[in-house]
Amino acid sequence: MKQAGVANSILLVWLAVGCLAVGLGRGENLSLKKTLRDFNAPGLKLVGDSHQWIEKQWQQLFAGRNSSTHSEKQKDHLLTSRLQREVLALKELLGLRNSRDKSGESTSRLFGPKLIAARVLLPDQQQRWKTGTLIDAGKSKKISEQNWIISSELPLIDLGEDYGIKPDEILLAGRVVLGQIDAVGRWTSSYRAITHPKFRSPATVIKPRNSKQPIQRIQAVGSFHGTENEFCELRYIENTYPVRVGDLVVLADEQQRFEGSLVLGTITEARVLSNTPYWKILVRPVESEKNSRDVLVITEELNPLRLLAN
Amino acid sequence: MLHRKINLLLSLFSVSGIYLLAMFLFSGSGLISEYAIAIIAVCVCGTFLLGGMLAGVLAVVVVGVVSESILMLPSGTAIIASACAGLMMLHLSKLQSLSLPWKGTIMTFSAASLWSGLFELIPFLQPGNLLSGWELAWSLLKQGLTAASIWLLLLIALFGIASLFKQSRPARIV
Repeated sequence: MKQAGVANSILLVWLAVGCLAVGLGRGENLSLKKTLRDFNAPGLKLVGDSHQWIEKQWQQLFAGRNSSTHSEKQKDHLLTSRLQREVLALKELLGLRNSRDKSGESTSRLFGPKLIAARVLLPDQQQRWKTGTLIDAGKSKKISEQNWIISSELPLIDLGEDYGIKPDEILLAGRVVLGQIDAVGRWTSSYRAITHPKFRSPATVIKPRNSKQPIQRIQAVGSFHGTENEFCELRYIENTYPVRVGDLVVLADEQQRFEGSLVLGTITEARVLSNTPYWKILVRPVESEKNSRDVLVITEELNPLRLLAN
Repeated sequence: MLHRKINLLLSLFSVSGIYLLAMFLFSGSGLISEYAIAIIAVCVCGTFLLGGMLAGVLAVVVVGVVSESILMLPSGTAIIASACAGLMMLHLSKLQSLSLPWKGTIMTFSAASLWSGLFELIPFLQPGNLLSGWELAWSLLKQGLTAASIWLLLLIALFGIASLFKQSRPARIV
């Protein structure tokens, strides 16, 4: 009976602690979460390592048996990945519409994102373009492509200064980030693919956990790096933030320039390292539209309706 | 004395197991994480019934700490949810009129429902995020039924189906 009394008291104190935590301010809340996360870091590391070890053993065990159905699985994976992104986009649009409904009458923005359709040049087209066999009107009249495009080894798209493309603008296929404009010529531009070692972009993690819950977005912004390998890296996300395999990495858009998230990839490995406060996160870029030649360049434009109104 | 020491060691062992399991489930992915609360409710309930009330309370606190640190819920939500579920399990564990398997079934069902209910309800109390009543009720029922099924299946697997029908009520002195 005495044991029951003690147990009851402990639980009541625990409940009071919970109520106190609810009443804390935002900054104190965050520091409480961080403290708890630090406290649990060794356990998390142990669990993460053992989880990966088990997964590896499991894959090795079934690698032989599953080779025949590999392509089917890959198809399923691509379909799931595409559907996941569509659900993400729809959820965000719904959230946006809900928030607009509450905030009052909707107004049109002065600046808005503008998508310009482009096409990736085929290797032979690039070759001919760079050697100048396509434009032979003469350099004397200055009708030639810029030197930095001619000498570039990066892939090209068929838009340049003529469409107002600027360096570092994002190249998309649907909602998937394919790369970033590297240099802009008169009619063509070169771009860094997402896996290019010089590809950098601010990125954050979102968690498409439960179909009924809204999207959860961690508050940290990291740096997304291409590595020239199959996987990219997401750096500088503090290990006090919850990140797990399967979460989506999206472009960090703190100024909310784009409506909806632009997806960079899916987390395939997230490890807590012992000598650094950051996660080691490997990201698999989205594969579905890799081979598509039709791409979009996202730029910003003044809203013509607003200009016409005056 | 030896019996007590063994019991204490077993309780500590099970609490640390629950700690690692909670970390694995809350930070993992896939189907199993969807039923994390149900699985953890079964483990905590087992600790309550087999390891004693204090061991059970320790397990509740440990799960509270882990879920508070890992899950992206408003601060304090996971602690409150664990404390409420713990209090419910504590009071249900005092029921004398039921045998251990059925007491465990009721405990796991109600603890898992309450626990997941608080997890799902508190963050969604903000306007616009409120789940519909049916969705919430179905979600709670699903967690509760999963927890109770896991408990019963475990008992049957470990002790056989006959264990469910054994009378373990205290003898009444007439």
